Amino acid sequence: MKDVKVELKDLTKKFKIKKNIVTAFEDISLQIKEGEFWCFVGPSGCGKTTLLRVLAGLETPTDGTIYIKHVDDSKPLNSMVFQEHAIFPWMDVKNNIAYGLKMRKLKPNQIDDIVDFYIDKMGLTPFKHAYPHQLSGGMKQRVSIARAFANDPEILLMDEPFANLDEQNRVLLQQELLKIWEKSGKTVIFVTHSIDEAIFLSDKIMLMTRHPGKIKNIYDINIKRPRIIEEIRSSPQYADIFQDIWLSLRQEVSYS
Amino acid sequence: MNSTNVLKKSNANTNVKSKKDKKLKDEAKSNKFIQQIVSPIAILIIWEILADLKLIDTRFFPAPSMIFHSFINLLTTGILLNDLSVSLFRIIGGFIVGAVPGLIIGLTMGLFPIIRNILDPIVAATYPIPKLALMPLIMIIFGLNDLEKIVVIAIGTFFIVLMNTAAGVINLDKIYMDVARNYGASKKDYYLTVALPGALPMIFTGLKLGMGMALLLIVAAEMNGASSGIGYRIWESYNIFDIPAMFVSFIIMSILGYVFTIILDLIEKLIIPWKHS
Repeated sequence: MKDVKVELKDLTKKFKIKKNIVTAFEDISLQIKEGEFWCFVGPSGCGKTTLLRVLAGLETPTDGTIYIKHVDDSKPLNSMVFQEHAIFPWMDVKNNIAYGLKMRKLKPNQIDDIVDFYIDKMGLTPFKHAYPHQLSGGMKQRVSIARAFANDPEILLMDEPFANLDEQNRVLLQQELLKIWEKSGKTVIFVTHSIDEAIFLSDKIMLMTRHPGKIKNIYDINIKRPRIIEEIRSSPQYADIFQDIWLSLRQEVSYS
Repeated sequence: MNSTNVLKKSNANTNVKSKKDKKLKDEAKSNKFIQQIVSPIAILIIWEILADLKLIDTRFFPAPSMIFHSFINLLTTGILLNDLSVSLFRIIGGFIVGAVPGLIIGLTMGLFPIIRNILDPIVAATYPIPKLALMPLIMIIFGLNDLEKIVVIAIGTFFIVLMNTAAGVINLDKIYMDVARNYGASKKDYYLTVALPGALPMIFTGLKLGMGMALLLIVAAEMNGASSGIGYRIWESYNIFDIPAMFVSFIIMSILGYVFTIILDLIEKLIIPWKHS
């Protein structure tokens, strides 16, 4: 039995907008085990991105507790892959990927080794010294993913990183993400509105209700790894899970 | 679009294809140059003919040949170069005296909300006063000398640079701050690695506008209490009705503006290589 890596207890986030109190999500309790890949799926506006931002420490929860097991104090607790346009336009690919390591004041030659490793892994070698405006959307997200993995955090958070990519690039990047993740053994929480993406990537899917977001259901995705997109899409198992989740999600979407 | 391995703009390609591209580019460039030079030359020729035929009033619009003659005269007597160096000293002096504090105060206002809240009312109250309206007061305080002219130009430059710099920091996409926080940047790291480089494009916009303001104000500043300078020459030409000399000064101002723009563009390219061009 694997150790618990992340534990959320009755996590709630409320915002005060003018005089009204708006609940983004409430009573989220779950346990994520070491090395698991989780997807949070829900209708838009259900608070899944806010939940991720709370986990990232960018927002404070109104209620409840977050526990993230910090094994190695020299490593950061989490690193986030943001939606597009989150790599710095004024840094080249190399310096963007090195950002977290530089902020943690690692030695320059150590930084170089780590950065070169991920540049190579993400197929970015020809673009090492290119600036973001010279890169396509897919390349930018590769940089964003490399930056997060290079930082070597306890858990990785991903906020719809492929939402703005075209279908072909999305599939390609999903496969590359799985490849790099399988070797790293990292715990990942990935927010998406795509059921398809969630099934392909994850071990577990948390489906959220419409606003204010609560846990609607948690699905185990027991499809063997390594996963290949064409095999998965044509498997009856995939169709069953998709149907299950879609029927449940459709209720939420059609309410609103 | 197959974007897995496509670098949209390649910098360091020296293969055959890019050589061919370069040739095509050069051709397009020289074509563009020819097209662009046609209209000014045509205007000069038409102007000259109209003046020779007395179809325009040459008292107000002297023929290009007369302006050229006046130019040679001002050049050989050394008046032109003297005017130029005197005005350049005032423009550059005023620009630096205004832009440097504008940049520093603009940055601190952008970075620290407390300072912004304290200074905002003062800036908002003083900025709309036309700089020309302040001139008489500045003349009384500083006297009729170089310093007074530098102060007039500095005040004009100061506000433009300040406002653009502050806006550059404030309007930076919030996601960059999230990234910096998430990746463990300290406040100091954030200022140096995100706020400052992120504000650079707006800072340069401010500097360019400030330079335009400096050129505008030099003419007004040299209206009173000056005995040389490009602006002075314009008013002196007015007094003695030497219109060709006035036109020479117009052209010098135009060239000055152009040269300053080119210099600032070059510096911008060096400092902000990542900007979309």
